[in-house]
Amino acid sequence: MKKKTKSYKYFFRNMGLLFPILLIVVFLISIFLPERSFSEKENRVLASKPDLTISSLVSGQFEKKYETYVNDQFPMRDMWVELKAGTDLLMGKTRSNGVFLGKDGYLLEDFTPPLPDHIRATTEAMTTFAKAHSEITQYALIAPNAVNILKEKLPAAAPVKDQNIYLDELFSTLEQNGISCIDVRNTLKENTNHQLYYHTDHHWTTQAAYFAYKEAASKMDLDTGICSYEQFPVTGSFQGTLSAKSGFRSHEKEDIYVFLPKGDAPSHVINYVDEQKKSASFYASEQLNGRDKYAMFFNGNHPLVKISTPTKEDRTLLVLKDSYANCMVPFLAPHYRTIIMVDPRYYYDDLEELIQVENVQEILYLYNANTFFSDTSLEMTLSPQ
Amino acid sequence: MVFSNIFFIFGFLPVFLLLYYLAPYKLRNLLLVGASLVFYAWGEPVYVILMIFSALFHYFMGMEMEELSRFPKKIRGNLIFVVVIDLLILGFFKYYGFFLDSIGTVFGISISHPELPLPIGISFYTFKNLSYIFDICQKKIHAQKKLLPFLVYSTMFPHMTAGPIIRYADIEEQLTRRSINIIKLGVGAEYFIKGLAAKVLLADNLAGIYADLTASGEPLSLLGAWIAIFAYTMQIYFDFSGYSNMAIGLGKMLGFDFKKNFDYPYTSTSVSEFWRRWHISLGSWFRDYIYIPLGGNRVSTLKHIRNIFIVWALTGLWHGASWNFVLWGLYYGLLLLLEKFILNGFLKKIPKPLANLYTMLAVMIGWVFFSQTDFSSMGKFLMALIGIGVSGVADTQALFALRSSLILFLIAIPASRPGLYQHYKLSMRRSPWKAAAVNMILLILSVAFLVYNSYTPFLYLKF
Amino acid sequence: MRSKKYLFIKIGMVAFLAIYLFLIYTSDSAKDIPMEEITSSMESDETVTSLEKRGRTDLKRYYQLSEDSLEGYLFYKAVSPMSVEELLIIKAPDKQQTNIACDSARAHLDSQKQVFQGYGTDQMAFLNEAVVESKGNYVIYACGPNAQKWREKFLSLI
Repeated sequence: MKKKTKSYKYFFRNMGLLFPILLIVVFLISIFLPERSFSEKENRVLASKPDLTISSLVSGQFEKKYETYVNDQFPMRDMWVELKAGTDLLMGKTRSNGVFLGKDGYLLEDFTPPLPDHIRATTEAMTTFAKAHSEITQYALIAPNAVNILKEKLPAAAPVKDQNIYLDELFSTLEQNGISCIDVRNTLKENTNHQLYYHTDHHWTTQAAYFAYKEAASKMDLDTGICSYEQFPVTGSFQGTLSAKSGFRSHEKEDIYVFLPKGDAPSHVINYVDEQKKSASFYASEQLNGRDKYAMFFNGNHPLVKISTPTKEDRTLLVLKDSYANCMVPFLAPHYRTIIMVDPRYYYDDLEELIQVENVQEILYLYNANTFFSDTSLEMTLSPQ
Repeated sequence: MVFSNIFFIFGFLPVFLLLYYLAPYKLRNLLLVGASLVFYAWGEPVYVILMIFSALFHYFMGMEMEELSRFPKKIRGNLIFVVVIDLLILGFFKYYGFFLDSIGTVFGISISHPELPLPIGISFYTFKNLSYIFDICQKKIHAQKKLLPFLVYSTMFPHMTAGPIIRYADIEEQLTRRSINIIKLGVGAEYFIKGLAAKVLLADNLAGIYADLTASGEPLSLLGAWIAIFAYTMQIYFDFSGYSNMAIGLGKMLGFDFKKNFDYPYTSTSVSEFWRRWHISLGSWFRDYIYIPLGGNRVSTLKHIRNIFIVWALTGLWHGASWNFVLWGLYYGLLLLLEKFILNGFLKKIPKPLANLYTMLAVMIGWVFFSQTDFSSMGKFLMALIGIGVSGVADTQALFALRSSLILFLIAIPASRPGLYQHYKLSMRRSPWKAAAVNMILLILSVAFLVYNSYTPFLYLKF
Repeated sequence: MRSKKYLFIKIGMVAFLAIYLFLIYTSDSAKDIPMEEITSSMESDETVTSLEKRGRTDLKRYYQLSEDSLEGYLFYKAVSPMSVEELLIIKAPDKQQTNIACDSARAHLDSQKQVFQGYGTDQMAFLNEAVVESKGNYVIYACGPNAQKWREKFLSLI
């Protein structure tokens, strides 16, 4: 009996040593560690030391921010985050923050079904707009997401809602109201032997955009023969937003390809209207040095971009779009003298006026389904109160 | 501040422990009270005044009642005064909105009122301070004449925010005389890490499973409903007991011995046994200060039944200002009566695992009342558990939840029973370094989850 | 004599408690300052006026709030839509309208976060630090590098 208690003592003595030592060592390190302002791994700005004022202290704001600050600046934060993510994997977790860890290294973003009121408001705005502008030919290309096309890559029993139900209904409503829909689901499904989506990002690849362009060309009466393309990798170290969002596969790096026209290509002028900047290329290679490498397409998202191309035919296209359009619009550029890209999420000017001034003849809604179904800005832009 | 927080573990705690262990013996109480006020004021600077008020109020009232001990009538008047003031404070912060809303519902009007945030731990410290006054009246203890030791009892941070509800008699001597050494520090560390891991590694992840299943508000499948309520059952145990263990551990580090607050409640073979093992300090508070003064079971059967329902309705209401908690309490009152008068002999006859299964079913259904604040979702959930209004026997949502939580369940079940820990205790004696390493790994994993999560607030603090 | 001492203590404590609870209860209320006064005093700050002053259409667009339902407001927003810098102070006629305004300010913050999530890390940092608060019948939404300063200044006014 005596021996027993003695050996418990050893254990508790060990604990009595290890525990305070760990606490104090980490405390000292955290005091002397320089502040980090940005986490590449999490793709976000880390909290900095909050300013102490009486009112922020009394309201509890300061304390809350200070705790976030300590958390964000914790020594070797990335190592801890990785330890947690690794433990999650061991525990069999395959969903994190709405992202599934799929087969073959794919991360797939979950699809959230639209709220009935939301989607009704958006489709109504589109159809009302279509009727008010019957002189303008209107197309809608709502691209399916990886969670739809690459269903079989999802982990077993993943509870995802079927995007196709909502897409089918949307397309039939739009078609009835004179907006012709470009359904790229079949062509993408037939080509799953190609890489259609990034492994670690929610965007489609340029390859997928190219297939979609081919499909669109037949509907929009574009002659795909005028230009043929060759693909080039522009970076091999793309880490998408899904890996930052979920913590899965955070070391995975992948390629971004661009399709460049073979031979003589028409010259383009890309005018970033709000930024008052012009460029001769769709691609901003300086973005490849940053974290968000997908921003190399059109230098990221902008409220309004105007692309001018010296074509014979004078056609003007207005693209109402999200970031899926950024890698597809370059394929459309040779066919139009003017393409105006509007991102309703950031665009707050008068769309009617823009259509008048630019003499728009065709409109293309170019979205991915996830964004389209959760978006409210399109409705606001089409029918401002 | 809460314990499962990076700033507490690697900021507040090391600094405080260092000062406390280096400080001369006489300064320790002062240091502890000062640190406790900082701990409480952090994030709640306005309400720390209320907490100090409550401590001073009971300190003075305790002294007066001690002096009046020969005048029972005056004691009675003072006792009523204390109870009224305490209920006023508790009612003002915790039950006022609930009260107005209930009146509003009865009369079909809506009464607008400002929504005050609930001061952290108000139910715990009010009950603790009240028990001190009750014990003086019942002559179980003598009032503390010195202010500082009383403030240590009333404000000390380990059990300040979420219990256990420590009785004055249990730690009276330790308030002025207690020892600290490396062994006690180790014992405390072991308790603290055990509690932290239960909260961070088990409870928070189990909470995620429950939330995933119930968040959408769509009908669950039969399997899904059971997975959800099982995850909730486990979550709430590890959350509550984890917090108690952290409090006990911190107490040990400072030289205090608090009583056990959870004693493997999920091994119980009857609901009455469950309540002797679950949140022991709360159950005994209601028994000693409400049930027994009402006459307990030494009265006519009818009055006994009345007493049980009063105690359990109040126990429910203590957990939150909402009718579902009252219902939850009454449900237990009913079960306990049922066991007392009908099931008692039967439960003793059937095999233990079967009796345990019955208890767990009763408890899990209880958690449905506890978790669903509005009655329609409560009804839907209960129906789903028996397969009415469900999307099917099992759907992909349920299968996916099962798949993602299986390993967690396989850890949580043995962790809620004594076997695993007995095994670990054996290894403490056989290989003290290895066992310590296991403990430190648990700490490191918990820290990783805390860093990642930026911390989820305790369920427990709402009470 | 002894019991007198405790009587005084009790009276003192009850009085203290009454005052304390009264202060807590009324802490949410604010002085009734006309919007013009708040506007002129906020506009003395250059970091505010360097933004663009916005009117009823923008209030409707970003917050789905109609000017007529409010007693007054002050709305400044950065010119570029890619910037999240923004200050809105609203004075509502009653508590109900205050709650509506506060809810729509929260909704605005959520939709801004959705828009910039994954794209604009600087914007996200500001949005995560943004202020949405109501006091009395006032509501403030402040976002950007000066959000805290604006908030303090506004709270000192009411």
